[in-house]
Amino acid sequence: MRKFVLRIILFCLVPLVLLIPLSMIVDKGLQKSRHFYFSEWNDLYAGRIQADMLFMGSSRAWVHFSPQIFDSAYHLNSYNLGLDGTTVDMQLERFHIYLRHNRKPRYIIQEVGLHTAILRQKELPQYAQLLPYLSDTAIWRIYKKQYENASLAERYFPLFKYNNQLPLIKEGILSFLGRGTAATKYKGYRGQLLSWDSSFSNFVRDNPRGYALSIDSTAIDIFKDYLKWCKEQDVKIILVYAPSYYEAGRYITNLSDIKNLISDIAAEYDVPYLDYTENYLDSNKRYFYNSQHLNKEGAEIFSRMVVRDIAPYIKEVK
Amino acid sequence: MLFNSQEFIIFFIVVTGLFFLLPHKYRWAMLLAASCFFYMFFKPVYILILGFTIVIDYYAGILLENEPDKKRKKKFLVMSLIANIGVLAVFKYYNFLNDNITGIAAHLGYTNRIPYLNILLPIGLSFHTFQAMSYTIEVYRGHQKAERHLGIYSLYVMFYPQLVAGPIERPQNVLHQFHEKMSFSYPRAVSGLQLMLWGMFKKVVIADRLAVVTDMVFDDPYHHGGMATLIAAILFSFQIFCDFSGYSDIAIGAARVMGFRLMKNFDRPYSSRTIGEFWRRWHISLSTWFRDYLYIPLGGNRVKPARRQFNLFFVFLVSGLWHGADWKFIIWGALHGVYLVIGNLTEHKRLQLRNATGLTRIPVADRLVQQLITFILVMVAWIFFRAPDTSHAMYMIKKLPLAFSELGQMISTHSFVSGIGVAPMRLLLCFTVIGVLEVVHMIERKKSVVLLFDKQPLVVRWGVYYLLIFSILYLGVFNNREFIYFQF
Repeated sequence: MRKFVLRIILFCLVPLVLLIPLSMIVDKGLQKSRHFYFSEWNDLYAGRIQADMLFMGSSRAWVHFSPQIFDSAYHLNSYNLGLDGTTVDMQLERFHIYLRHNRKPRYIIQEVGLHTAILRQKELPQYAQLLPYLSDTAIWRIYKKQYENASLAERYFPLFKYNNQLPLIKEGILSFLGRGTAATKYKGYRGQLLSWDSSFSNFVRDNPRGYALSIDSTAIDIFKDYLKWCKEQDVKIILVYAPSYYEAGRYITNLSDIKNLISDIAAEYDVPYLDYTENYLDSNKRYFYNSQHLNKEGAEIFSRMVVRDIAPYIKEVK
Repeated sequence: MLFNSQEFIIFFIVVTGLFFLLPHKYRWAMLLAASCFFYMFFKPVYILILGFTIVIDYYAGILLENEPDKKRKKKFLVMSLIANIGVLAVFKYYNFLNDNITGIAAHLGYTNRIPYLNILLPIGLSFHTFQAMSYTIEVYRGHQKAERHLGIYSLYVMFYPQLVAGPIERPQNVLHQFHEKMSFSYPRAVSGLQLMLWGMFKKVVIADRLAVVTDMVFDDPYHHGGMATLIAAILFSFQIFCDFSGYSDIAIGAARVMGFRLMKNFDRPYSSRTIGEFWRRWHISLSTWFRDYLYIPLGGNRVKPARRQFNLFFVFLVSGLWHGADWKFIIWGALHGVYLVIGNLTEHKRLQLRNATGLTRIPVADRLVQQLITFILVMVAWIFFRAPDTSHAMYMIKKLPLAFSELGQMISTHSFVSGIGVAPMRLLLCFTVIGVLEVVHMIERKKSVVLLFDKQPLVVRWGVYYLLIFSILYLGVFNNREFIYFQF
């Protein structure tokens, strides 16, 4: 039996000698990568953002606010921290990590459309974006909360977290060698060069009478605490409801209740609230690629509108 | 506890380690405690049901052995069988029966007032109930002595490797092994681990990967074409094989490491040339259970041909019902029964046809044609097994012939892969892993893969182990998906 146990130990040790360094190479490489999954996380962890103005929200922030336009208008350093498919609780988790490595922003433009302020995160899409940072307790906590199947082996067994993610392993190695993917975003933003697709007509086909979005009171409390924190920390937060295609509004049967709720919260905390849902962009498919997202052309027109409208709240940073 | 979980790896190491460290007299207790823990990991309260049937069958066994009077002996057996089948009836079939009564009553304009039971089916209930029943039947027949040690008898029913999904063992094969003193054997431990590794590969790398595609199509057949339906049906045939035989391999392997010999449950079933052969190769422990305890008591091969065919059909109908309390399983069983009966009745004509077409002169082609026809029949029946209900299954079966016209369209428009509605890389990976499985089966047709493997130098053997382990770790699908047969 001793021979058996010794052989088993030897059998397990041999691959670990290779796997541990390989795992470190992949992690380090992805932590340097400009791949669109990781670029903002990497900027954030490296303390490279140090923004004066942050754009926060879901994909409706990520594809709508062009930092270049804001930077040139206000001569400040802005950064888009929009996180695809997320609600405010998840966005704040990332914001807390941001604050550990970067200075507090002076301004936050918070997109509040659709689910962002009224629901809590169920499952983070593109979970692979968290993988290189699983050793960070904060990220591990988020990961466990988001994925019920998360296991300790993913955190501690070399490379196991990259199960079925061979392209990421390749990207990690290449980035480690300085040959990773070229950046596809500018300060977290990427204008979408897309035209109107079929997702809205599919949605209408599947939900001809639309549906009501449920409102999660815990999510509302989190959102209110966030506004309170901004006030206490002297961070000027501006709530923005970005444009959505006008016909989509009909299919969210309680949309006006949601908007009123956000408006009431904004008034309660004395926070500016800009609603762009009844804007001329809303009625023109040319500016959208689906009912909730503007394409590059639409996003840049919208960014200029916001630049103009937030002027009363912004002091130029010299 | 699932075999494909990290908890099981720790459990297995601890239990096997303790097994060899403890003196023989304490091993049964440790194994029983471990088996209880294993079972209670799913839902603790259901251990009480197991406890109930164990106590009944334990005493039934002793009474059966002690009773000289044949009539009273039979009474004890019937009581024990009623207790076992009663548990199955309540937990597995009660709501199904009630559903059907509700349907018939509604049809006749009545309201069914029989209450529904808000209960979950205990995992593996049909497996351990059948194993317990085989004990009392064998004691009744005098083929097995009654077990006087309650702990050992409990272990016979609860032995963790085969507790929730078999193989459904016979007391003659297993019970005496719990009394034997097992000492550690290096080659046996390696052989057990090899089997576990192969089983895990089949489950995590093949079955669960195929499930990604089959779930997509079977759960939403109305949004998929004929070709996607056909591919999903083919893939599901391999998925269920790898899922279930993977489980059996892990079970047999885990037991073998400790020195216990469990019966073989699968023997390359898709290489069968007839449905009869298929059932001699698929879920062998259940097929032989039905043969020994239902088919033979009904008269076996000794009755008139018409009666024999009826008995065969009836056994398969019951087998369908054993699999699940749902019409789709009953139809699945009935379909196999019909295949078998028609197969028996046309055996001579089919041979004539094969002779007339000259197929028998080319043995390889003859074998392949027969295997292909058998596979298609089995595959069509699997659609009932996997579809959410019979109406979905019927819809999918009607859609299968469309695959050929779609194939024509795809070839003419050069859009083969995109026309299927499944990502090409995903599909390629699915067929690659099936290819790996079939290569192993092809080798196995001529010689034992294990014997061949053991003759290889250490570098090759370790290389293959690492390849399998890395495939499991880095290409496996880990979504804690239960084994399909757990539901039974």
